[in-house]
Amino acid sequence: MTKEIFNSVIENIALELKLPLSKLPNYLKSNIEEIRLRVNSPLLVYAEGKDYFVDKNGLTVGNPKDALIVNMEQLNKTFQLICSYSVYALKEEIRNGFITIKGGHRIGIGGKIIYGNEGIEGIKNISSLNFRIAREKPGISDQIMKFLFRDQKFCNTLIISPPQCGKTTLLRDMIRNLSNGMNKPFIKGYKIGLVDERSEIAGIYNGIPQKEIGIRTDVLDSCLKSHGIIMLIRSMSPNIIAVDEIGGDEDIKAIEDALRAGIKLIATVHGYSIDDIKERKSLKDLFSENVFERYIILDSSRGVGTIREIIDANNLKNLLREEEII
Amino acid sequence: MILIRFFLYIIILLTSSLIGYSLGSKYSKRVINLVNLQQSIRLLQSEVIVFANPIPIALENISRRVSPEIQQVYSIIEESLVENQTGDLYSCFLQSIEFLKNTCLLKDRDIDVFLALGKVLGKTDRTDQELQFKYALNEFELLIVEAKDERIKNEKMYRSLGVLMGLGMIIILI
Repeated sequence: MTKEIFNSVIENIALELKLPLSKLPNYLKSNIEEIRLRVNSPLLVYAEGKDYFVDKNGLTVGNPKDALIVNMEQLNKTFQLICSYSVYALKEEIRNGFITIKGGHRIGIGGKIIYGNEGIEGIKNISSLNFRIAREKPGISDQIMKFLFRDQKFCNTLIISPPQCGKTTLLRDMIRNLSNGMNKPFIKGYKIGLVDERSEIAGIYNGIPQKEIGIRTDVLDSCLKSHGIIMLIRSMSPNIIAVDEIGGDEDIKAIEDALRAGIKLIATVHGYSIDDIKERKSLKDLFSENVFERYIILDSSRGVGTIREIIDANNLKNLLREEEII
Repeated sequence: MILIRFFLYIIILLTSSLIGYSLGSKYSKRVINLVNLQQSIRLLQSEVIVFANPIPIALENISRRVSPEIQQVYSIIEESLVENQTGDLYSCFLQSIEFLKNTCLLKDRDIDVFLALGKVLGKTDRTDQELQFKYALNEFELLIVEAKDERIKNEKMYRSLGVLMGLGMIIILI
């Protein structure tokens, strides 16, 4: 991430907080993953696995007491900026607990949840905002694409990864490569149907994908996976369907429908190993039917996005020796 | 000599009548601008309630469809939104007070209704926004009725006063 991306993100933050953040050193700006604003708590940024408190002069300080304390007014102003002064236009997003801004960055919202007849109706008394700066690393999947084919046919692939180990970033780049096609190794361009339930993969803002997801990719944004998969099968005739973080019973049912329609699949799931997820009630059926032909297992043993293994489901052989790709 | 005096009397009569007309036209201008402002709020309402467009886009859209003076009001707000990035829409509405007062010739209570809308605009869901718009439009309706009454009463009075003052001065001079 470059400092320009960071600077564009802080444009959505109230002036009193934006100024110190804009004075942070460039090397830190380039590596910041999260900016956390919590009411009556220090201004905090998260980079390279560490928290940094920021003071009013834009210096990082060790003691939280020396940091700039975020107040309710600053938080409310920031919320208005994120919403473009239009809370009514983002009701659905707010109900889901996050808003996607220009650039595909996601802002998580914390506060008091209001329940109504149809479940969550909104959030009031906003008490915390988490700016999650989206990272795009084009090319990170180039080296592993060759492992995802057998007899020139794409294999159903499941990316298994603990949180914040780069599974969405890797999935996005795989989608881009499959959609655009590649010369080395030769891969023809596939029609990809992407169900981006949390607007994280394509980072759609005002209908335009903010991330590179390839020229043959159709996106259903903010759509439940279970609904989106069925809609794509019916309307877009994709060769491959891509989804993030599968797990619900409805998701699995929709995936089975897609497989019956002869569509290939790339998905991600939270987990640490095949054994860890194999026993999950909802995923059991997919394993017993040997749906997935490749498992990519990520961890952060050698930095975020380390590909620990690529397993061939037929013989459980690791196709890859440890390789750092991010 | 008589011709010059006659010419002077005409100038006095014309000047005083013009002053009377110009003082009277303030009341017409207020009515026209109130009606235009009310119409712009209706447009803003449909941008928000029907199209769910964000406020900066809604302001841009409506400023193309309103009278030049009201367009200027929204331009002031829009510019303030973009330049200041305050996170406070009300403070951007406050920037338009001078223009509303001096150019649109609105009264303080007219401006208060407009500012009250600025205080709540965009801050709640569509159902509540609709109520706020309804309230503002009703208030404007009342203000327009009141402004029209004032116009009928005062516009005629100032015009007549202007002419009568001119004639009075001429009589004194004769």
